[in-house]
Amino acid sequence: MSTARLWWLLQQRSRREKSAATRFTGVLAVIAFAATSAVALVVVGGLQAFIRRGADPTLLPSDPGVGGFYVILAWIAVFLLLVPLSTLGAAAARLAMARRDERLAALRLVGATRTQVGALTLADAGLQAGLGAVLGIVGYLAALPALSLLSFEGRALSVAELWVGLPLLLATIAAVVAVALISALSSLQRVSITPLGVAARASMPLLSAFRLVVLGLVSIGGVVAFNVLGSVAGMIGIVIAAGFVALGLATMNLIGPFVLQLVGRITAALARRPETLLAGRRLAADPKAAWRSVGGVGLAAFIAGVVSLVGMFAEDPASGSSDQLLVTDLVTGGLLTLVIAGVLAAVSTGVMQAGRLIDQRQEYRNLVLAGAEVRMLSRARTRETVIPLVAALGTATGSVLIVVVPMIGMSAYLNPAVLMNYALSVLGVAAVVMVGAWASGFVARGLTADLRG
Amino acid sequence: MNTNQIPTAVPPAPPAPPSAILQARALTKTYGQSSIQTLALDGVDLSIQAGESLAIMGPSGSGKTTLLHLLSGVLEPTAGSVTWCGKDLQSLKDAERTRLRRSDFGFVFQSGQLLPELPAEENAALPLMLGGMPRAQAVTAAREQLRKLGLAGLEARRPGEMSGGQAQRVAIARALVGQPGVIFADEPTGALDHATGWDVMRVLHDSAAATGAALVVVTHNPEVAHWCSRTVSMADGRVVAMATQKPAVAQPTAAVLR
Repeated sequence: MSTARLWWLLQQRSRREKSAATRFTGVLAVIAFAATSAVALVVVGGLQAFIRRGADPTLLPSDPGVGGFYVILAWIAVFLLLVPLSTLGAAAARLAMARRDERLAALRLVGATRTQVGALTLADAGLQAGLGAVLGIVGYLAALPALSLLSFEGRALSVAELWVGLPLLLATIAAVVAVALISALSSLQRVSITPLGVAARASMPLLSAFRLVVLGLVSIGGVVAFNVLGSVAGMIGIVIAAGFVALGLATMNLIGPFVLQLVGRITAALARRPETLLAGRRLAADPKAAWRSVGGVGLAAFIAGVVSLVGMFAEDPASGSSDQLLVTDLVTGGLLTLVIAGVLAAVSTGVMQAGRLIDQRQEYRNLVLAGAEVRMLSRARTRETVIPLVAALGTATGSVLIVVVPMIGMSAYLNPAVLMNYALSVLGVAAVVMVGAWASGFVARGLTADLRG
Repeated sequence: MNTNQIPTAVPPAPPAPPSAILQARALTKTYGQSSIQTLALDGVDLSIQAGESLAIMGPSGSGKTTLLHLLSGVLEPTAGSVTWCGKDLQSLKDAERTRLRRSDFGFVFQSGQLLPELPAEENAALPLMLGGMPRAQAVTAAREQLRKLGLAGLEARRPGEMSGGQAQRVAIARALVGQPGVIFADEPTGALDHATGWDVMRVLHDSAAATGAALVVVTHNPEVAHWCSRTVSMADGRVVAMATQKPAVAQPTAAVLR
C-alpha cells in the first residue's frame, strides 16, 4: 500500500475512533496555526502600510521626518511580536505532533518503514498547519474592516493599505506549513536518535544570577547615557529614546525567566495548598516556557505603560498638530500591540497547557485515580497561568516606573486618566489570557472521561 | 474481551468471612454504547481480608485492571456491588469516592505516577496535602516514610534525578504515607529490570505487612504473584481459578522473574 493510501485510510478510520481529548488537541493546533497566521498578516499589513506612507511624500504630515519615525515604530512593534508569534507557531507545531507516538510505534511494529512513518507524520502536521493558515487568512480578512477604523497620522488606515496581496497570503500558508514540517521533522529526529529522550524529563538547570548583573549594568549604562545624550533633540533624540526602549525590552527578555523562576521558587516555598505547590514547582522547573507564554504580554504592557504616560503630555486633541498626532498614535499603537500580544499569549497559554497535559497524561490520570480532585488540578493550572502573568505584568509595570520616573517624575503616576487607561488595558489582556488557560480544561476533562463510567 | 460463556472451576462465593474488609459481589462491567457492548467483567465474587495479599493474574484483556478499578471505586459497576468496610461504594457520590481513594486506599502503578516537577518528599506528601493536612506535617510524614524505604538523603531529588527503582520506592512511600487499608498495585514491576523488580516487590510486600494494609497486585508475572498469599486467575472477565500459597521470601531466579 502506498504511503498516501495508508494516510488516507488512517484518516478515515481514526475519525470515528478519536477521543474527545485527541479531537480537541487537533482543533487547538489548528486554532494556534490560525492565530499565528492571522496575527502575522495583520502585523505585516500594518508594517507595509506605514512603509508605503513613509515612501509617499504626498501623504506625509507637516514634518517629513515623522513618516520615517512611524516606520521605525512599526518595526519595533514587529520585533516585539516576533518572539511570541514564533513561539506560538512552534507550540502549534509541537501540538500537531502530540499523541502520535503510539500510532507511529504501532505502524513501525507492523512493518511500516521509517520513511513511511515520517511521511505520515509530516502529512498530518502539514494538513493541520495548512488548514490553520487558511483559517488565519479568513480571520485576517474578517479583521480588516475593524482595523480600518484605526487612525494613524491623522487619517484612518484603509483596507487597501492593510491588504498584503495574494503573493504574501500564499507565502504565509507556505511559511506556516514549513514551520510545522520543520518542527515535525525535528521531533522525528529526536525520537530516532534517542527514543527515551522524549519521555525522560531531565531537570532543568537553575538560571544564573548573572542575568541580574546584566540588568544592573544596563540600568547604570542607561542612566549615564540618558544624562549625556538627553539634550539631543529632534529625530536623533527620538531614535536614541527608541534605542533605550529596545534595550529595556532586551533586558526584560533576559531577566524575565529569571524573575519567573524566583517567583516560582518563592511560591513553592510558601505554598500551603497542593495546587499552589504544583503551580510554583512547575514555574520554577521551566520558567523559560512560562516566559514564552506571557513574556510577550509583559513586553507589550511595558510599551503600553510608557506610551500611556507619554499620552499625558498630549495637547488638545482637536489641535491636530503633528506632535499631538504623534503622541496619540503612540498611545494607539502601544495599546494595539498590547492587544495583539494578549491574543497571542492567550492562544499560546492554551496550546502550551494542552501540550503539557498530553505529555503528562499518564501522571494526570494516575493522580485522579489516586484520589486527586479534577477541580484541584484545574485550580493548579489556573495558578500556573496567573502567577507568571502577574509576575510579567508586575515586572513590566515596575520597569515602566524605573524607565519613566527619572524622565518625568512621580507626578505622572498620580494622573487618574493615565492610571485608569493602563490598568484597564492590562486587566483586559489578563482576562483574555485566562480564557486561553480555561480552554485547556477541555483536554484535561477528555483525559479522564473514561474513569467515570 | 468477548462475551462467550466460559466454564469456571470456581464454586459460588461463600458468605464473606467476618474479617473481609473489601468485598465484591456479582461484579459485572460492560463498556461501550448499547449497539456495541464489550463485557469486561462477568459476575465476579471476591473478598479480601485485612492484611491479606492478593495477586490478580491473567492475560491481557482478561479484566484484571477493570476489576482493580471497580474494587477501588474508580469505575462504577454495571451490575453487582463493592463494599469497603461494610460501605457500598455505589451508594457514595463521586466526590465521596474520590475522598475515600485518597484516605483509605494507596496506589502504585507501572509508570507515570510521580510528578516530574516535585521532589521526592513532596511527591510522597501529596496525598496527605490533598486530604487537607498542613504541608509541614505532610512533608515530615513523607520523609519518615521515605527513610523507612531506604531513601534517606534523596528527599529533595526530583524523579528525573532518580533510578527507576528509586522512583518506584517513592511511589510506594506515597501509597503508604496515608496509612491506607488497601494498597492497589497495577503491574508495579512492569517497567523494571529483574533485580529491581524483585526489590520493589519485597519493599511493597514488607511495607504492607508492617502497616497491616491489604495488598492487591495486578500482574501477568507468576513470580510477582508469588509474593502474595492468594492468587486469583482471570480469563474473559471471570475468575477461573483461585489458589493460596506461602508468600515468597527468598530471592527468585532471574529467569523466573522475567
